[in-house]
Amino acid sequence: MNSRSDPATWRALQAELDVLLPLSAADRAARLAAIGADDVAQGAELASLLAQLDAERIPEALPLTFLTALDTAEDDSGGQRFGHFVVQACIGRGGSGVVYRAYRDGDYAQTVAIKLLNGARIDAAGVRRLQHERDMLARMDHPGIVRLVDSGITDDGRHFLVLEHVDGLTWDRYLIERAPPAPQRLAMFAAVCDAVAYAHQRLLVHRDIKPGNLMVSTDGTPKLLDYGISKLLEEQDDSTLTRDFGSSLTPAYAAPEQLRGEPVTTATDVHALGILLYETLCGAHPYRTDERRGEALRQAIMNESATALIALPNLVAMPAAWRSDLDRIVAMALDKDPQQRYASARELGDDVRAVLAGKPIRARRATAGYLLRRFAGRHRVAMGIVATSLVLLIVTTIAAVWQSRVAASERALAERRFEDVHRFANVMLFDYQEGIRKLAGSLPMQQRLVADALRYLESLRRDASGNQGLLADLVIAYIKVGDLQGNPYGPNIGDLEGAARSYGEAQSLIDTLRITAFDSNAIGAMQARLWSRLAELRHQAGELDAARDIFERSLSAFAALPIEMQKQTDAIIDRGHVLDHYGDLLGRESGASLNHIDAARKAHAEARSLREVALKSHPEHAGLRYGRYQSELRDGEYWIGQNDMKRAQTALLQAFATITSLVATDTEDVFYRYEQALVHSRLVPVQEAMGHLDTSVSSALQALATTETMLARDPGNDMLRQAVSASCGWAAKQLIKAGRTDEAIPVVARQIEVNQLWLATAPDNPEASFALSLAYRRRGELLEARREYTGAVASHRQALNLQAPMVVQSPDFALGHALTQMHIGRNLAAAGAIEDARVSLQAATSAMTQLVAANPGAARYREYLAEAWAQLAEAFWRSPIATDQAARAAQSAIAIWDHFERDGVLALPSAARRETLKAQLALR
Amino acid sequence: MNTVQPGDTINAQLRSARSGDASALDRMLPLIYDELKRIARGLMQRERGNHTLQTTALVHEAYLRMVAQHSADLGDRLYFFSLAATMMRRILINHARDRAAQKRGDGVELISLSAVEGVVAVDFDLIRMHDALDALALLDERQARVIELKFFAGLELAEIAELLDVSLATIKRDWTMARLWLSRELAQ
Repeated sequence: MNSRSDPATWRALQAELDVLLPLSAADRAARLAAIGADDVAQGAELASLLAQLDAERIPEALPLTFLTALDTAEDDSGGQRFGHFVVQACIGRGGSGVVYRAYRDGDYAQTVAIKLLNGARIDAAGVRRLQHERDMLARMDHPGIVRLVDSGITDDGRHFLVLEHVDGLTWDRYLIERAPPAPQRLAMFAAVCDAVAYAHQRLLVHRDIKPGNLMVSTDGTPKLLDYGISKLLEEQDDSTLTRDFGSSLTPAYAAPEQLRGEPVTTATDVHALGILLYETLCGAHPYRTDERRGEALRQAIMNESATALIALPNLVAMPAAWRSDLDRIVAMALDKDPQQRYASARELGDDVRAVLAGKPIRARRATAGYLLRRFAGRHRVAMGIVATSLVLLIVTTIAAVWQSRVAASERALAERRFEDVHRFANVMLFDYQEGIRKLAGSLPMQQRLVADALRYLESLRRDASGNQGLLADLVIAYIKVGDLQGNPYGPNIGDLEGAARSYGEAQSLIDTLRITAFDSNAIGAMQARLWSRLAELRHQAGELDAARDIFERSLSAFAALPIEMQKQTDAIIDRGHVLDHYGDLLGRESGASLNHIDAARKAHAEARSLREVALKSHPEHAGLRYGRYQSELRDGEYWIGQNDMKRAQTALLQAFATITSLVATDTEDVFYRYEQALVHSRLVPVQEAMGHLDTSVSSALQALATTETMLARDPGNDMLRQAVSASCGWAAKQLIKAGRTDEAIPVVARQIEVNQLWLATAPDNPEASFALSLAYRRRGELLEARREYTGAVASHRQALNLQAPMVVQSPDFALGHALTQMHIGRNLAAAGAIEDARVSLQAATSAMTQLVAANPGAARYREYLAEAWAQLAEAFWRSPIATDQAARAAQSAIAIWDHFERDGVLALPSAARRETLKAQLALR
Repeated sequence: MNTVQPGDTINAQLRSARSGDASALDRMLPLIYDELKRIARGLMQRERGNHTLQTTALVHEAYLRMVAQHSADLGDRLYFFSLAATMMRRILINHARDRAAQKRGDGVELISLSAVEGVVAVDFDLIRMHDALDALALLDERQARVIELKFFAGLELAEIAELLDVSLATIKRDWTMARLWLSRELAQ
C-alpha cells in the first residue's frame, strides 16, 4: 500500500511530515535516517516528498494562462445587417456583448462598431424604457466620448448600438507601447476629465471608467467607451438577473459607495478618474496588488489609503514639484467620502492642468509647505540667498513631515504637527517677509531665522520618538541648519559653534536610528554626508589631521553604499563636493608635499569623473553642471599652482562657460552670478602672467561690476561683500600694474570700506580680518605706485598688525604676513630707510623659506620667495657696502627661476625679472 | 427545466443551493459556466492573439455580474466562488484537451504559461495537474478542494478555511501537504 492509492498511508506520512518539516536540515536528515532504518518504504516515500520542497513545481497560484480562441468555431458574421449597417467582421466580444465592424450601406467609408448586447429579449415596454437612455447617449457629442451613431432592436428583439469606430489602442496598451512622458499623460488625462464633465452636465454618469474603457485613437485623442452602457444594461437586465443598483462591472475600479450598494453619482466617476490617474502615473493600481483580490480588495477600496505616489519607484519621470501636488489631487479624488471629492470632473481636470502650468492647485490641504514652495520658487530674489535656503529648509521639513509615510494611527500626530507647522510657516511667510525685504539677508535676520528653525526642529523632535521616517527627516534638517550656521562652502552666518551643535544633534539622531530597523543604507548615506560637514568644521578649526581622517571616513561611507544608491544624482553631487573639499584640504595642508598635491589632484579628478559619468545620462542637471564647474575651477587652480598659466586659463575659461550657462538657466540666482565673478577674478593673475595685462584689468573690472551690482541688491549679504572686496583687490592691483593709479584710488577705498563693514559685523572671523589686511596692502601698493612711500609703509603696517596674530592659523595667513613684510621692506628701501628695509626683507625671506620648506609642492611660495630675494638684493644694492649680501640674494632668486625654467614653467614676467636681476648682478 | 424563471434571482438560487437544493444547484452551474466563458472570451476584445487569463479576475467578475451585491453575504460569495472554481477548472481543462486534440495526437500539449510582467515562463501541465488533483481527491478530498479553490478561484487560505468551516491552521497544512504530493506526482 502506498501513498498514491491508500488514504491511510497518506495520513501516516503526513503525520511524519508534521514532525519533519519544522526541523533544521541536519536534524531532518538524522530523523529521516532513523525512520528509514525502521521502515525502508516509508523512509523512501518521505524522502521523495521532502525533495519536492525545493522543486518549485507547484506555484502559489495558477500562473496566468494563454487562451487562444475559446471557441474553435468563429461566427461567420460578415454580411449581417443591422439597420442601415452591414457587418464586415467580428472584432471582438466585449463584456456586454459582441462587437462587429460594419459600414453604412452605400457608404463604405463610414466605418462603425456595432455592439450587440447580451441579455434577454426586449419587449415593447423595455423599448420605451430604454428610449430615454438612448436619446441621452445620442445627444453626446464630444471628441472625448465615442459617439453613438444609431441604435436599434434586431428582429429577434436584441438591442444593438452603433458606435463611432475608434482605431487605436486601449489606454493601458497605449501607455505601455508609446510610453508618453508625464506632461503628455497629464494633458490627456485632463482631456478625459473634460469629456466626463461634459457628460455629467448632461446628467450621464459613466459608472465604468477604467483603462479598458478608454481608447486612444491614432491621432492621440483619448475617447471614452461604453458610456452609460452599464446603466443601459442594467435597465435592460432588470427582468432577468438582478444587478445591484449602480454596480460596477469591474471591482477594482469601483468606488466605496458602489461596493456598499449606495447610489451612484458623478462623484463615483471622479473616484474612478482618481484611480485612472494613479495608474497612469505609476503603472500600479492604488489598492489592488497580486495578493490583494476579492474581499481583501473590496475592503481596501472601502477603508484603506493608497500609497503616496511620491513614495513609488515606478512613478513616471516628472519634476519634483509636481509629485506632491499630484498626490494631493489623487487623494482628493479618491476620498472615501463622495462629498469630499472634487465636486466635478472639470475641477479635477483643472487641477491637473494647474500642475502642468506651475500654478497652485485647489485640492484641499494646500499646506503651508506647498504655498511656501511656490512662493520661494517665484520670488527668490526678494528673499536673498540665505533666506531662500532657509525657506527651502523649512519647506523640505514640512513636506517631509507631512508626506512621510504616516500610518493611519500616526496621522493624528502628523496633523497636530501640521498645525504647528502651519502656524510657524505662516509666521515665517508673513512676519518675516516684510523684515526680509527691508533687511534682506542681514545678519540679525538670518540669525533669527536660524534660531526659529532650531526651535521648531526641537519641538518636532520631542514628538518624533518612534517615528523613524520623521527622525530621518530631522537628521537632514539639522544638517541643513548646521550648514546655514557654519558651512563655508555655502551661505552661512559664521556661527561655527552653532553649526557644531546642530551637526551634533544630527549625529545623535543618526545613532538613535541605527538602533531601530531603519534602512541601514539610508543611514549610511546620512552619516557620509554628516561626516563631510564635521570634517569641514575641523578644517576650519585648523585641526587638519582630524579633518582629513573624517573626510576619509565620509568617502568610505559613500563607497560602501549599494551601487544603485551611489549612482543616484544627489549622492553623486554630495560625494563630488566631499571629494572637492577633501582635495582642497590636502592641497592646502601645511606639509603639503608633492604627494599631497597629487592626492588632492586625485580627489578632484575623482569628483570630476563621477560628475562627467552622471552628466552623460543627465546632461541638463543643474546640480551636476555646477559640480562640473567646481571641477573646472579646481583644474584652473591646480595649473596656477603649477605655474602653467596657459592651461590655467583654458580651465578657467571652461569654468566660466559652465557657470555662465547656469546663470542663463536661472538669471535670478545670485549664487551663480557670484561664482561668475569669482572666475573672473581667478582669471586675472592668469591673464597677467600670460602677459595680457589689459585683459586682466578688464576681467578684474568686470568681476567688480558684477559683484557690486549683486551687493547693491542684497546689501547685508556677507558672501557678496567678500566678493566685492576680492574684486576690488584684483581691480586695484591690475590698475596699478597698468599704471592707471588714479582709477585705482576709489577702488581701493571701496575695498577698505567693504571690509571694515564686514569686520564690524564679524569681529571674530579671521577671514574678515585677513581680507581687511589685504585691502590695506592694496592701498599700500597704490601709494607705492604713486611714489608715496611713507604712506605706503604706514598702510602695509596696518595690514601687518591685523595679520600678525593669524600667522599660526594657516599657511595662507603666514604667507600674507611674509608678503606684507616684503612690501614694507621694499617701500622702506625706496624711502631711503635701508637698514629697516633689510630687516623687513630678511624677515620676509626667512619666513618664506620656511613656507617653501613646509610646502615643497607649492610653486607659488617659491615664486614669492624668488621675488622676496630679488627685492632684498635690490635693497642691499642701495647700500654700497652690502654688495655680497645683495649678490647672494640675487643668486638665490635666480636659482629659483632657473629651477622653474628647467621644469618648463617659468612665467614670462619672472623671466623678465630674472634678466633684469642678472644684468644688475653683472653691473656690480 | 433549466431555464431561470423570471423573478428567481441568482442570490435566491445560491441560498437554495447552499442549503442543499440540488435543482437550484443544477440550474446555477450552467449559468456560471456560461458567464465565465463569456467573460473569458470578452478578454479578447480589441486584441488578437493569445491572451493572458487570470482565473481569479474572471471568477470575481462573474460574481459581480451575477450576484446582487447588497444582499449577498460572505457566505454566499464563498459558495459562489467554490462553484466557480469547479467550473473554471472545467473550462480550462476542456480548452486544454481541445488544443491537445488539435495537435497531431502525440501526447498532451503543454499550455505554456507566462506572466505578463516578465516572470520566467513556467511550463505547467494543466491536464496532468487536473488528473493529479483527481487522484489526490481520492486520498483526501479536502486537500484537493483547497488546491482547486486556491488555484481556480483565487481564494485566500483564510477564505477557504471559512468556506470549509475548518481552522486556518488546518488549511495551511492541507495546502503544504497537497503541494508536496502533487509536486511528486507531476515529477513522474
